Amino acid sequence: MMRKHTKPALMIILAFLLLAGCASGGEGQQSTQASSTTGESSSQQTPAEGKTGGTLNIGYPTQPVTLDAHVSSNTAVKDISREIYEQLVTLDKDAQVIPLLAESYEISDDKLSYTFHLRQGVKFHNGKELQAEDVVASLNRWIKLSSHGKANFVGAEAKETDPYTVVLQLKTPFLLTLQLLADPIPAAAIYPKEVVDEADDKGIKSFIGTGPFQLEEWKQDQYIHLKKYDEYSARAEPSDGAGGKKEALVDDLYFRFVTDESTRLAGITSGEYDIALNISVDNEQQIADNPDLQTFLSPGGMIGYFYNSNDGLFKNVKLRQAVNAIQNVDDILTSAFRDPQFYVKTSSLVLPEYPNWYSEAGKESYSQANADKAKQLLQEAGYNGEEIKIFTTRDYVDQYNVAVVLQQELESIGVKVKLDVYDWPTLQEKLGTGTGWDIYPMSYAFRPTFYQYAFWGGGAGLLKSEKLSELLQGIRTSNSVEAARPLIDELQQFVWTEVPFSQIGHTKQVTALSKNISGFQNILGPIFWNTANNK
Amino acid sequence: MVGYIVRRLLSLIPVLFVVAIVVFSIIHVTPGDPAAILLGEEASKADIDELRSKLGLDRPIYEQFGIWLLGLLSGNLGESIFLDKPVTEAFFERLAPTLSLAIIAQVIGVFLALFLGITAVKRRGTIVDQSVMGFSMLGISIPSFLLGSLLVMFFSVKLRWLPVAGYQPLTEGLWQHLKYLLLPGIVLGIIQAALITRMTRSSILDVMSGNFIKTAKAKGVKEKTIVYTHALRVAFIPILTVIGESFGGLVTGAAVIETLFNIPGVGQLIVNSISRRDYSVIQGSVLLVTVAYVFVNLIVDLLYGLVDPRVRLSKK
Repeated sequence: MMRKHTKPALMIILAFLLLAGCASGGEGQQSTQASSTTGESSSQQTPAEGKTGGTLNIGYPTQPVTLDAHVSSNTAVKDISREIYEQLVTLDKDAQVIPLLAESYEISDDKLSYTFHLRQGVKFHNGKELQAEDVVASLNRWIKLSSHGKANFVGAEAKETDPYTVVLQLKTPFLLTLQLLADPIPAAAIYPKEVVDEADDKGIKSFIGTGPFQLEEWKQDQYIHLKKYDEYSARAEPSDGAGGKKEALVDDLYFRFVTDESTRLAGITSGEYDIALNISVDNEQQIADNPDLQTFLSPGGMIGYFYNSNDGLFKNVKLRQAVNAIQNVDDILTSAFRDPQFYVKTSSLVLPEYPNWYSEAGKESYSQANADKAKQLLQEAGYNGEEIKIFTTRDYVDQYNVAVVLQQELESIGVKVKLDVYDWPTLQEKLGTGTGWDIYPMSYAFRPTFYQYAFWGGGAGLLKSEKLSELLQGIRTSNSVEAARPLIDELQQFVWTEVPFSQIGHTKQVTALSKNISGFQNILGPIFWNTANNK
Repeated sequence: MVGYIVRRLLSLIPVLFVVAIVVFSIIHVTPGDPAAILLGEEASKADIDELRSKLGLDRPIYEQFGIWLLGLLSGNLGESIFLDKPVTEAFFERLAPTLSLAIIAQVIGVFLALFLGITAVKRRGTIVDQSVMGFSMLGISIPSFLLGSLLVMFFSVKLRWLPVAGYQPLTEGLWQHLKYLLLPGIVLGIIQAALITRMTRSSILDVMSGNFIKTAKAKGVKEKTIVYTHALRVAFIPILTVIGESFGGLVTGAAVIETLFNIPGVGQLIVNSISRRDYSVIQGSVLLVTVAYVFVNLIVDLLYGLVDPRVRLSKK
């Protein structure tokens, strides 16, 4: 029996080797030095100085569920919507608020009224001029439907005082009003009044904005095609972060939905895509080694272990502290992200580039890697060998990897751990029940102020604490960021003392670009205006 | 003949009923909530509950099943939660790419298999025969995404002969249409060929030892004619069965290949809908695919009559 199959088997092996050898050959030596563009955290290439015209084919990982920016916190919605819509204000490269559709704005002394003076002559994609009524309709809808609106702007209302002036009246002062109005997700996008009026509970029916690109075609599950809007009203100041002068240097943007990473990789390598988003850290080397491509790193977000502080074993703060004490952040981050260029070790919820919110409070509790202390805390917590359940998903490889490392670290000090792996929707549902699990790793998209992190709104199992609510409330009603400073430090300290979650660090995202691309930026997401294709 | 067809079509009903119960139960038992997925991670529980109510997901299971079943009887498969259109519309939009791909794959597969199978027969026992059998083993064992990735690496990335992924409908031009379906078609075709080659070879060998072949040889008929005209015709029946089975599999959506090559076909639709827990699309698609499968098998059975006169006569 063996002999009959030996020859065919040898043929197969030979064929395989030939094919694989041919395909990977000629890619050059593996260099230890990655040729990547790290830039500052605002992540910019050299400013837009490329030729105009042409197409950008973008290999994009998921299709947005909608293009209604008000209602979704989905990254795909954000990335594509911000090419189409604009907001009253936006963020510069240091994540400071600057005017966009507003010419200027004033805040009343009691911090309850924000008056926005609109620029004149700004056109929507349907040719209509932007006026106060459009802003009023859009803002009020955003307040009613967006997660930011529902959490922070209850009772607020926008009113028109003249065709180019809008007043946003708040019920209670809120420090971060402008920051949230500038936040791209969920964006307080300005739609024409008619679009808002026509919308039903399924959402808006047409996608019309004032941005440099307009929606040309949406082929479900295939691509979204945006075209340059010729009558875009650009600001005069030079481009700065997500604001300033925006130019659509290319004529067409194609967001091609390619869920499979290997296909995105093949596409950028073969030149079919000019830009490929969400390249995993494992594949980055391939891009870096390719002379026709360049890698682009941008802040990805924070990743941490979240504890079930409301139900089960981890209601006990000592146990949370124990698990926090064993963590060796270097080991964990290397396991998930391979190389220090892809992550930032910091105990602060916000990166050092944003000094207003950066805080080193509590950092002695970060990455202790102290087995003795952990064991002692386990004892103090009364841990009796119960099984600890870590829930995770393979749909997000970094979350899965850090879960495995934690399991090993805990087992090394005698803790019994069970790792339960589910697919994403199942994981969401199980976490949502609030019971039956103890720890889950989760990554949250990068935010320049920690007030904006989604989990404060009550991520699964997040500690319900008076102190926490008090601190958050104190920050939101502060008069200025300077006045809020002591509270910011206190909140950061609280995070490390009460440990509702253990932050592991901040991550970087990898985007692959063709060498022909210039002017690409990433400010809380990829930006395709001011980007040229010099092919 | 007509009675036969009618009886076969009627047998669809119990089959569909069983499939309906099974698919409905499985996906409703699986954890995951389409309303939560639709609204996103930051949605409040109140919003999710409201949407669930609107979609009718908070009703008891048997009531949901009953409503769906009644809809089925009037030909209504429901609305897609995510795509905002009727399930039938979503499905039939996706059918064209899958059909094109299935036909291309089947054509490549059959021709390749016949060529290889007959070559193996003609040179049986030699290294050529061994290689063909080796190739067949490879084709059956290799995972489709591995073969797909290898071919893409070679033909798309290295040689740049064909695109990496994507799809253009026939309306954009024949070559444009074929260009995107060629690589995925070859991948599926090779796998098909692997299955059919073995069948072809053994079937022809079987037949070649028959008496009527000996007669033909004795009459001095050329080897070529013997193989192609006489032997193949008889040997084709089992081959036809395999083709029918595998075509059913192709039409039902080569989900992995469609995902890898980004072809908006039925397979991709089902996979995406499962990730999104789009209940109505999953249920509706599985049912429609069952219907397609039964039809294909019916056509194969009718084709028997065409190929083999013995079957035709016995029906009379």
